[in-house]
Amino acid sequence: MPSVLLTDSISVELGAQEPWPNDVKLFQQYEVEQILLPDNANCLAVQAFLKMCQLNHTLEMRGNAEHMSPSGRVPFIKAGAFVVAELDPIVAFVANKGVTLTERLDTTQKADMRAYMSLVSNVLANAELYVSWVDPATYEDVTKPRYGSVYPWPINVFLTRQKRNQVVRRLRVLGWQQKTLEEVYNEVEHCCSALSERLDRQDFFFGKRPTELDALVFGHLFTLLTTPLPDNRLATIVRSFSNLVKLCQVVERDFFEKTNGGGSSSGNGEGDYDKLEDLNQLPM
Amino acid sequence: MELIVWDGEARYGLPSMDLKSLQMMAYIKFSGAPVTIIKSSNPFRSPTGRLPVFKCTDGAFSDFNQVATFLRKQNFSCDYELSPKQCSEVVAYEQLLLEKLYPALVYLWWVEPKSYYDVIHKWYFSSMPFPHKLWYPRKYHQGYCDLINSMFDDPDDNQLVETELHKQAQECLTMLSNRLGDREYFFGRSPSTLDAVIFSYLALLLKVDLKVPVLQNHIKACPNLSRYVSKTIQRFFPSDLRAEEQAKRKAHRSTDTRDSPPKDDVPNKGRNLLLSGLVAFSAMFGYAIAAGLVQVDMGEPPTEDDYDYEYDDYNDGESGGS
Repeated sequence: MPSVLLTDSISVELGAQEPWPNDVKLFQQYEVEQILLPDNANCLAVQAFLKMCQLNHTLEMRGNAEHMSPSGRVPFIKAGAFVVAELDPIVAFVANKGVTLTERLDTTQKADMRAYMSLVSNVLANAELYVSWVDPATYEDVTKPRYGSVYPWPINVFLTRQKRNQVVRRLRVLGWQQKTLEEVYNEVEHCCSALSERLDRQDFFFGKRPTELDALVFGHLFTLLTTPLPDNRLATIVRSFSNLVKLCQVVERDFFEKTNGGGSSSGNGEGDYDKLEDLNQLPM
Repeated sequence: MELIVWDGEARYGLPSMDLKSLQMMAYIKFSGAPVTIIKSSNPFRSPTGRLPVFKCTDGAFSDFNQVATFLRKQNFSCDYELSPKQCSEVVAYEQLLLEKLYPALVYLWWVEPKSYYDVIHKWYFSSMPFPHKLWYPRKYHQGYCDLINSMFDDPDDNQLVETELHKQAQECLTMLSNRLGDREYFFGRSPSTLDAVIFSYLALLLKVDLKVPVLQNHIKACPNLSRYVSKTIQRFFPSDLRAEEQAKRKAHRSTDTRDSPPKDDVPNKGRNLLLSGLVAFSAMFGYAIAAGLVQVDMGEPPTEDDYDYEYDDYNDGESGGS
């Protein structure tokens, strides 16, 4: 089997030198008034992943977190001298420190896990972007006021428009912009049913212990379930798959509730607590 | 029911030179549906304006999943033996390839300038009919460039883009190789929808000789993947395999014959040389005349009277002197 590229081995060498620092910060936008559906899903996925690995971190909310990030996307972590953005690089970075959730999986299961992660990040993430930025009702009612909320007039108008153009252009080349809202909902349903089939009756996707796939699925589905939108079809679709909702509840109970109670990784206790209440109120 | 696809290339032994065409052809062969496959290289006539296109009683489709759904409704499918869990894996792996392998394939074929101009553009330009070939390849090129540009924050840094795409694609190919293992197809002994999708990617990456052969070498280094591709072609596309052998033999023969008289690679060389020399000479001569460098005196020749006069004078003198 051919080996990986040289760049990988260099980054492994560099990262492995230090242990996990104590003052790791995870940056994201303001959770209550600013953050949008796709960003919230990604931030929650990374938080869940770090909690599953039992790595200490504190949550930092910044209005311009998006522009601070090296890749232009949230969330990103600052660990010692390293600034790492988005889930995949963070997983690789943590793995370099010797912490991984996938050591007991064989190569086939790892390939399966990557495939399902692609499914989630292609379908659910694009659907979230579509609903937030292309669907006119959600854009006017939710996205526009929230995205511009931290900037003064007139810069909020410009930045929102610039971001919208950027997202729409990306969705167009991926072939999503041409879809109707109904087709997008069908895609989400298709994706959820594939995930639900794979999960079946297990606690987590690969047996009794969570992997980064569970973190990613939790991040996206939990956000879809708990975010109020003008049209709550997305939440309805997710709720129709009871085993996926159960997964969200298990991850929430085991990782978010416990750590908040223990106070080991302080995070934003209040925000998480609100979400817990939301989920318990779900009509099942 | 008929399926119109992009033409193949006998030199590479490929049934089609296009990813989607190959996927649909493979799906149809695997499921055994009675569909006439027509090879074309003109998307202008297609009802959707694109190739491949699948024409049936429900209309014309250009999307793989639409075709698969239609054929499933007609009871032609290759996924009957799969469990629901395996069906969900098909969906997941399709997205994995779309995320990891598709951008690399698009980059190597349509964006990387050396391969694009020397291989891909050349092929499309030579196989499409006249007015369309001036327009379509460039249009596709632009579309794919936009796709790659939208994926990166700094698309001008070619080195970075190429490294990242190659890395993702290589990881993906290694995963596929692990997943396939020693089996004949991804879910056992008979091919499924997933095999139609994966086979098309692998066949295009393995068979077409590009100027940057990183991924081709990677597949060759995974023996089970290259065996998988050649076995699938052998079993489901035997005519293209024969065409490849014929093309190879012909190429071999032509190189043999060319070797014996080595300088005869341009016919009528002497005539061409003479003609171009004449054209060059007349052009230069014409310019020289127009610019006045060479004067051809076209004025009236001196009248005979003057000569006569002098002559007479001379004669007179002569006669007078004598």
